[in-house]
Formats: sequence, structure tokens, C-alpha cells
Amino acid sequence: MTRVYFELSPLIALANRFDIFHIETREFIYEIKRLGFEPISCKQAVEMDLAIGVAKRPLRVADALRIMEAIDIYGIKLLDAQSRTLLELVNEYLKEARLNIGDLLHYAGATLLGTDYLTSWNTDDFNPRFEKSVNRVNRRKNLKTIKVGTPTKIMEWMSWTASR
Amino acid sequence: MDSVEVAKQIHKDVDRLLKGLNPDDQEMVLKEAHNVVESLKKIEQITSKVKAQA
Repeated sequence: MTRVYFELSPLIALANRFDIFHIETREFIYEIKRLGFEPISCKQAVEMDLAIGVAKRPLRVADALRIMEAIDIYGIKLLDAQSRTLLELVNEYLKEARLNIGDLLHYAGATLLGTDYLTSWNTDDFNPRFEKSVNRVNRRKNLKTIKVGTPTKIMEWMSWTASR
Repeated sequence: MDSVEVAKQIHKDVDRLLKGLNPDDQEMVLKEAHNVVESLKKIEQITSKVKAQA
């Protein structure tokens, strides 16, 4: 089954109906489910985001709870990646890509969970340039390579694949 | 702040926290983050139960 990995920004967008990406993200998730794809995210990466988000304040406790509720309501599976393996891969990525560890936890989670697509609205940190850096490491370590894009971009790829 | 700005800010904070730690300590931080989230869930369960009874 094709797996679509959700990074933090689409999860926040799903949980907040006033967010500029809320409707698009909701439509995206309905569409991938209609196509029989599996929406997933990495338990450790999301838990780290929520805990630090609350501790450092961009999130209130209510926001964190709403994000967890959205993950549940929209049927996004939070899957466990082995923490030590996850962190080792993050440290490998750090040698290739100048990204924050918070971003790399999602790249590593997506890879280790056998994802086909990683989706994010944050195009500064989740884009073809970093996809290339991450996949260079993945190839070297015989891990699955991933495609990275916004929900809009991934929908385009899916429509293109379906029309062939 | 929209979802992208919030996510970026959180990922920067995660970076500041984990960078420079050895793998054992990084792993411990992930474990503690799990405990924080579990506690939030428990708080939510208790408060909604109490509110439902009121």
C-alpha cells in the first residue's frame, strides 16, 4: 500500500479550521484515502514536536490536544520507528543537509516507515533540494528513497500517474 | 502564525534542544517527550470526564 507521510505543518493545518491550509489539507487527505493510500506519521517525531511546542510556547495545551484529535479523526496512523535507528539516521542526514533536527526527524521517520511520499506545506525545508540530499544517504544505506512535496504537488503527481 | 510558521518554530526549538546531545541523551529526550504527550492525554481524559459529570 502506498504510504503518504504527514509532516507537522499539515497536521497543524488539519487541526485548525482557520489555518490557510486547512481546507486543502482536508481535501488532500480525503483524496488519498479514496485512492486507497495510507496516511501516516512518525510517533516519535510528532510527540517531540508536541512536547516542545507546548514547552516553548508556539502551542497551547489545547492546540496540542486538538492536533492529536485531528490525527485520530482523519485516520492518520502514528507509527513507531525505533528511536535509536531514527536518531542515527538523523545524524547521517545532518552531514548532508543543513536542516533542523526537528525537520530531519520527519525525513528519517518517513524513510524508516517505508513512505512513498512525504508531504509538508513548509517548502523552505521540505523541497526537491533536501529530498535529493536525504535520498543520497538513503541510497548509500540501501533505504527506500522518498518523494517530497506539498499536498498540491503530490496530488498532481498522483493524477499524472493515474492518467498514464 | 499559520501552520508553516508554527511548525518551523517548533523544529528550530527541537534542533536547539537536541543538537550537541549524545545519542543516549537524545533518546532519553524522545522518551520524555512521549511521557509529556501521554500526560496531556490523561489530563484531557480526566477533565472531559469531570466536565461530562458536571
